[in-house]
Amino acid sequence: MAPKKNAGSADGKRPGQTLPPGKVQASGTLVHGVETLNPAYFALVMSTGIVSIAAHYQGFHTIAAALFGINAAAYIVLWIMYLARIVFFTQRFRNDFRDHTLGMGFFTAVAASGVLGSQTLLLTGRFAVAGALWCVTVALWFCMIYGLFTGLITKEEKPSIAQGINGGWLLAIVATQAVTVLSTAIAPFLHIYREAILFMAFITWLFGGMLYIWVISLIFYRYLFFHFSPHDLTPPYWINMGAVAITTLGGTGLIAGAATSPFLFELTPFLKGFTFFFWATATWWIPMLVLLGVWRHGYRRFPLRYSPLFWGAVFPLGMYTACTHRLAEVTQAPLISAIPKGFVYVALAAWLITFLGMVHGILMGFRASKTSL
Amino acid sequence: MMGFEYGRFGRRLARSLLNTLIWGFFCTSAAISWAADDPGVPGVTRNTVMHASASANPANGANARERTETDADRFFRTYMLPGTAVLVLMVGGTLTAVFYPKAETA
Repeated sequence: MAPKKNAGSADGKRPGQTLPPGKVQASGTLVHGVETLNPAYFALVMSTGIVSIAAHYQGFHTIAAALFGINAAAYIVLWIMYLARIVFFTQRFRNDFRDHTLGMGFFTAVAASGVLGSQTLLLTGRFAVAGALWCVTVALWFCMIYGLFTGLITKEEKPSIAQGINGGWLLAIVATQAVTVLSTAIAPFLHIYREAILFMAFITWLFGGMLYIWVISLIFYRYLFFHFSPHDLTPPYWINMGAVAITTLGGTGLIAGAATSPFLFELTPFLKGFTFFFWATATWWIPMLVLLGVWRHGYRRFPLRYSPLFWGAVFPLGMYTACTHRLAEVTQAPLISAIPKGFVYVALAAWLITFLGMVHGILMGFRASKTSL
Repeated sequence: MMGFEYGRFGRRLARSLLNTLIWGFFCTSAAISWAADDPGVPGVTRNTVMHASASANPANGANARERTETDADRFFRTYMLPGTAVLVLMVGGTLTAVFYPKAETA
């Protein structure tokens, strides 16, 4: 999926002895793609899903449906590639999982499952599919949140804060809040278990909010007190905003669910207050991130080249559109309802540019492997 | 030396498998017992609580009227809860298998 360099090397040797050149090229590139698959590649599904949801909210139903089709296909392909990587490149998977900068990328699989579940429910109303994705989301979240952090904590050799932390760490919050968002989306379908699901969503929402405060403190500390170069400002830094945006979306789901939940009903003022708190934080980040982007690519001339990490920058734009729309809807807040109407175009443009970059990257990978034969 | 390493490896693997099994049984039994006890609360207690608090706010009244099992509730109890428990076991088991035997050499 992410071929960048010549792929017709060691991995393509064995099939090359029996297959015609065209097949060697294709399989070599594919094997290389699986081997070097970025753990954060599920950000493609996260981003496509939330941009589709945002487009649906703004009345672009055809675009939303088309993105849903792309997303479902991408989700299946990425799972095949992930599982193939675990089976055939176990050591690389193991190294990535216990890497401070790459390991957090695995949380994109959790968030992608959650966002796809919400998208499925919103666009098709298929509860069974969304329910199955809820199972995947909750199970993966449970195993990852304890597995990954245990792996990182028990590692004897650790990098410094300057080298080890980046915006990708906030994917742990995004994954947690994906559980909240999907749980609040399926809750209206349930009667007997609604209260339990909403309570679980409330707990993950609170925990996700707390985790954001812990991690963003470290990121802010790293930004302000350590050496900082354009290279350090990788695209996942946009998740600084995306993590609070999805927390806001989770809060809107809880506010909506409070109307039918005795427990949440009592907490409505708290839910509204904290949801606005997270939304305000997300809003504050946008000009800051734009300024840092201008500094990185405009002032310091850092080349703007496609990387799967750019999907981590598309996701917050779609999420901000969706969460602001829902916040305006559930709180009847004045002034903010106009924001998603404009922001949806920014999210769609960012998705399109990144998607074209990905297609270009794949084609270049195939071309490179062809010329090497 | 080799024997010693295999001995350590065996003990580590056995311990991790035991942990997985304990947690697996815990998750599965919790899910099944919760699902078996229909709404999660004994009937008398539930009725009393709902009765007592129905007038407190509009959400309570709406909730009391809606306490009938839907298809989604049945799906949730029959497939989603056990499915999640099984997936936790599968993912946990896979991660244990991938990491524990090689943790010393990584």
